[in-house]
Amino acid sequence: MKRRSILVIDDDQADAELCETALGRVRGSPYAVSRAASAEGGLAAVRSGGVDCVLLDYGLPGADGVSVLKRIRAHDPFLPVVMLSGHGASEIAVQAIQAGAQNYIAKSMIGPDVLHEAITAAIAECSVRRSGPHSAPSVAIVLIIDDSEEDREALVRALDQVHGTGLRCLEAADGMQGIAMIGDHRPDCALLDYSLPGRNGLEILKLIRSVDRFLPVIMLTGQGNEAVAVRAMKAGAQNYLVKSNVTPETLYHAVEVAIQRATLERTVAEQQDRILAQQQELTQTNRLNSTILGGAAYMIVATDIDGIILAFNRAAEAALGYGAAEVIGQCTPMLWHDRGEVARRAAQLSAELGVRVEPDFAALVSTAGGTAIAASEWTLVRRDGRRFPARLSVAPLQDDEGRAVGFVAMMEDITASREMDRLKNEFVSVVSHELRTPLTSIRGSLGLIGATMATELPDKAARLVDVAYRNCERLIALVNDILDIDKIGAGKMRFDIRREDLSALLQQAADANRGIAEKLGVSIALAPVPGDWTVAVDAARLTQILSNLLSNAIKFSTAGQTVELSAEALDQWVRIKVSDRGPGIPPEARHRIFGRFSQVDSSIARQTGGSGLGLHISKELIERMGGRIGFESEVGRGTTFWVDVRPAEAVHGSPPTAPRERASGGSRRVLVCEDDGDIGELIRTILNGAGFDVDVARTLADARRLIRTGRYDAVTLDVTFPFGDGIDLARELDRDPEIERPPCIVVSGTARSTRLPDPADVGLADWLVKPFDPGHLVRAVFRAIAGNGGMESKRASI
Amino acid sequence: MTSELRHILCVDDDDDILEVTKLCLESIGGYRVTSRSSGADIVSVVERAQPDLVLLDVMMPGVDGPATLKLLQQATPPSQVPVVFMTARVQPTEVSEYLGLGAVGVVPKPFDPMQLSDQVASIWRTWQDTRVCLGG
Repeated sequence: MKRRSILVIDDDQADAELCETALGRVRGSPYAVSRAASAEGGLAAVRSGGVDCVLLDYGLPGADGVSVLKRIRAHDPFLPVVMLSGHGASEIAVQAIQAGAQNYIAKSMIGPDVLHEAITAAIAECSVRRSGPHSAPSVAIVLIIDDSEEDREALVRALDQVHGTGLRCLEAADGMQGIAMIGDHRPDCALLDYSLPGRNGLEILKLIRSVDRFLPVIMLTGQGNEAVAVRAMKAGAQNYLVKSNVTPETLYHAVEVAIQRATLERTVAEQQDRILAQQQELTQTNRLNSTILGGAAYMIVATDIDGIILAFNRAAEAALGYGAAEVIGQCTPMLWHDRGEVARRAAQLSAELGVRVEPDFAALVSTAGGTAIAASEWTLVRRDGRRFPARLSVAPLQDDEGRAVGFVAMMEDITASREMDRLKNEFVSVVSHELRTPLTSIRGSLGLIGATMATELPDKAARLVDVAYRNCERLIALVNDILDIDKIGAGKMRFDIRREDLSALLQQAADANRGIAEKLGVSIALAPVPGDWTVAVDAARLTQILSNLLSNAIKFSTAGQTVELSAEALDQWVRIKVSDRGPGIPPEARHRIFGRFSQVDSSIARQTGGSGLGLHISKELIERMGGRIGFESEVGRGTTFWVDVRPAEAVHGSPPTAPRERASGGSRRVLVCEDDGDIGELIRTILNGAGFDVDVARTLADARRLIRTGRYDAVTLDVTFPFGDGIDLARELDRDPEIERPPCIVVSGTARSTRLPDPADVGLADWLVKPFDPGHLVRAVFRAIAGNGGMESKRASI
Repeated sequence: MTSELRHILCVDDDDDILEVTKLCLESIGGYRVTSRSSGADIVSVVERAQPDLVLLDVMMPGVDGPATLKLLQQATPPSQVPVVFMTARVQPTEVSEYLGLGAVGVVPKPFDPMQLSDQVASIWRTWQDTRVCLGG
């Protein structure tokens, strides 16, 4: 055996001296001793390497043994450490072993044998640990521990006889040597003589077990002794043989079996360790999940594929009034839903999806599929009958093949959030009105001064009035834009999409912005657009968008430059383009262009009295009208913003509806649908008087045919016909994609609420009850044709 | 009532708006303007002043715009003077409501002082056209 290097870490000189001396007296002088007087010194020595084992004093100044031990372990998890202590105490002993010491010795017990044994065992144990589990040996190593040389040789010969070169034998003359060899050579089996000098076989066996749990040991003895046999087996021997009875075959067989069993035991133990670890992990995960479910503020409910509840968290219990135990495994979420609402939603979904959706659990989860999480709003009913609105998000639970095996739903009571929305909308509405009132006076005053009294004012005053007026305009634009955004966001923006003459719209937009352009020395060039191009848009909103783009282009142009406005056909779209030769949009700003208060927009806003929201609003508007918006730009060359709109379908021979400004009847044509001859003539007379051309249809069939020609700007519609209903005709015409139904004014003996309880059902311009006021009728027709009720400004809020 | 718009009656609880509106219509539109800050006595005021058109604020304390209009409509005999509402609340639904009440037009606030006279004139013309066919 080579000399082992032992490091003694102890601040007490006398104790350290004691250790060194004791180690020096071990037979064969296998140890070289070095000393350190402090924890730091000891750690430094360990780090510099070459130490085979450490004797560590528990009571070092400034640090307790366990913490020093941990630091040693941090450096080398396999360095053998034996803890020494002046005050024996079992708690410290336990701590030490748990912290990773191989052994614990009270200083009063120190002697050469004690140390030798402890160190040998410690080194062997760490060696076994370091090298890990046995691999299947191709050559099995058998270690023979017997003090009699004769007996050892006999055993070697016996084994050799049977197996030839398949086994390798190692010999140790005493227990300690044997243990050391276990550490060094990792034998597959040990043959251990019972009667050894000093420690007997039983004690050595116990020591071996502490070093290697699995090494098969066969106890051998000169005399058969049942008591010894029992104790040996109990102490962990695999077998017990009497030397005088041993034959080569029995010996070999015993070794073979012992090795096999040991392998088996090792495998089982490893499995068990693994299972234990997994169980701990599982427990940990479960604990985590419970905490999440328990602590969540949202109601969380999990169900199987049929809707039977599998999990029901605390928040759900509290919000719905049911205990988890009452519902798990027994009910479906239909328990807290309104059946009527579910039936209605199921019908809606059936229509939308084209498949039948049952009015039960299926309707709640029908749109949850794949990886999508479906969200919808429902009315939930508590146990006590109280109802509240909730948002439901459903996600599917899937197995390994991606099939849905259940659902997980989160529900959130949105009573508060709905109330907040309501308050917010009310607030916005009130504030906007309150802001607009004083703005009226300010703008009015400043505008009048600027317009009518400019010459009477000192120059400075005139300039200041100008500044004030411009900023007042800016404020007004901001208020308008904020309201627009709020309206769009709340889904309250209504678009009146009609067939519009594109050329006229572009002309209007150009004209409206020419003033500002000229003031800056910029000209607007309108490229010619074919006169028969019509587009389906809300004219007021498109004009708003084009004005936004034009004013931006103008502001970014310098005096002498030209802004171009043009239109072209592009696949299924009509693309309107606004181009400038301005500085262009730098790459880093591009992704923010359509955001709120984008920098590009804001800097224009500051110069022009805009709000910084123009492009954002333009994008929202055009997209909600079914169009698209975008831009191309090159720094230093210029920018082109484009807006794509849908071309309106041409209807044979019909003139496009002209923009709204006409106040007189002109050549407007009205179709009167009325089966009663006298009433029909009366209406014809009234409308002729107002300057309209009038045709009368006395049957629904005629009405249908004539409306289809597309010749009429408005229709007055009776409700009751001999073989049909005017409202049904209107609905039918709505559904026909080939024609655009002109605005209809119902003139009927029935009240609207009787015939049409849901006003949103069919879009009607007006509903007059007979007998009607002629003036009222005429106004209604004018309003219907004008499209927005007689308002004289293009944009509702300026 | 004549077929030319000459005299406008403005009713608004906000004195500043009354002043600005008056100045506007007078200096830019060339109209004669009478101002009142409440609609409570509208019937007698209209009878006395005989305006061609009434420009009526909607949001007023006490008797608001619609109530004022109703007073005119329910007078004996019912007043025929055209009424135009002026208001900051101009949602599309609100606008058709006003017209449904019997107003002949709506002017949104804040108005553009340069446009106000034209707006009022335009509403007047439309209303004239509808009146003509009624032979009145």
